[in-house]
Amino acid sequence: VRLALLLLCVGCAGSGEPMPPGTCDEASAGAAGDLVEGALSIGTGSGDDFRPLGATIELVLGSQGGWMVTPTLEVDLSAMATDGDCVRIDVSVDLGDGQQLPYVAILSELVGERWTSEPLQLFLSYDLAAVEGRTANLSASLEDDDVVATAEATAILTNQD
Amino acid sequence: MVPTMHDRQEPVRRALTAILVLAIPALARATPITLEAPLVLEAGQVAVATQGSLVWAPDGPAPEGADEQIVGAALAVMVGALPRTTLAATVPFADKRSSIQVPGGEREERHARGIGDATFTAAVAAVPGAVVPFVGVKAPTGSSDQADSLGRFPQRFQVGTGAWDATAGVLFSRCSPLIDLDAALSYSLGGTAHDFDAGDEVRGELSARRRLAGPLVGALETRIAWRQADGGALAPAESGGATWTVAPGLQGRLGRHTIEAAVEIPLVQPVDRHVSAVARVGYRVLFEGGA
Repeated sequence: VRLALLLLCVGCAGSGEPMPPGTCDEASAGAAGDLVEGALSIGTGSGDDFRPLGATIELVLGSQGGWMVTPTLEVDLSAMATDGDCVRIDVSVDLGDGQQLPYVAILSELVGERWTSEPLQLFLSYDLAAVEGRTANLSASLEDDDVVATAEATAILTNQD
Repeated sequence: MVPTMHDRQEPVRRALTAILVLAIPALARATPITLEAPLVLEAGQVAVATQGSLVWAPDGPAPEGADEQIVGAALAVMVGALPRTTLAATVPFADKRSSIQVPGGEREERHARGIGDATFTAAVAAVPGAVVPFVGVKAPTGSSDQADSLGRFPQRFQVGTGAWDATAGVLFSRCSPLIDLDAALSYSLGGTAHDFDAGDEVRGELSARRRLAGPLVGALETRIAWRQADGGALAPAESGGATWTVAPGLQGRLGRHTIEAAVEIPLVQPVDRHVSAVARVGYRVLFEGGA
């Protein structure tokens, strides 16, 4: 079974708020730009508590029975050297079957030298047995102006008390 | 009224607890509609009550975004078994339907239905008509491990809990020509089953009732509760917190028959709940039993 995961909601730290419809049309094009190495990381925690993803990532149960993972993203805006306006973020999770369900968020403005997102709710399954112990490949990309940053991480899904 | 337990069984509990409020000695005055504390019957009296409920809970939190409706029914039998002591048993039934979002963005339906957990209650009129301590226990008689093609239902969606729960509390009553008042304080101890440790809950409830015309009584009731977060490997990441509801209602009595209706509106509720309103309709009848 392979599940690509859907980022249902990108919560935004600082001023990185989702844009009203039509405000950032240029960001939705998804055009390829120059790659900036190391400017985007997938991890856990926000702000000073951000840590790159380790060997495992914890499954989180939603209040209506949905199992998800909740990683965060850290962006090195100084390395990106962009204005931080109308930023496009793509995130997906692949559990091994190749199915991709990428979620796209357009954020209005990222500020500071290092910006971290709120936890992203990457919805996996209603069936714990179908996901626990599996290896998840997380990928993310961020586009702003003419530059692109990408990140990938692999972790085993665990359910801790 | 019936001391049932915690919010994972909320709709069923409210349905069955509400039926147990029988104001007898009692039938001489109006009775609370939604309070969870039972009142006492006189020795030899028997009462049978039923209540239907409809819970409307749309627009649940992400990622599931559940639109949920619960149709509940409950049957209660109360017996004035001893002087000042009333014993009660309540059995609920629930039909739960939920439209939820699945990974990928489509929506699917989930459906749980069946008999829930039975509740057994004892209430003693320590000061007749004024102070009534009560205790209750909920037995895991309902199905608590149902699943569908998506997987096992979350514990709150099951019709039963699989756990033994206990409740204790006290009801204070005061009657006057203008208004009848009942206030209850209670504490429910949540049990553990299926890697799910239900949070305890403390409640304060108030019911004020006034005769409107003939046998018709108007009621305004409120509940303030705080529930501990659920624990265990199958507990949601976020649960528990404060609840504040208000419930206007009407009650009518014709001889030994009582009908009542109320609408509970949550003003504050925990992050894992998204109830918009609960409608209740109840009927009960009192038998003197030759006492």
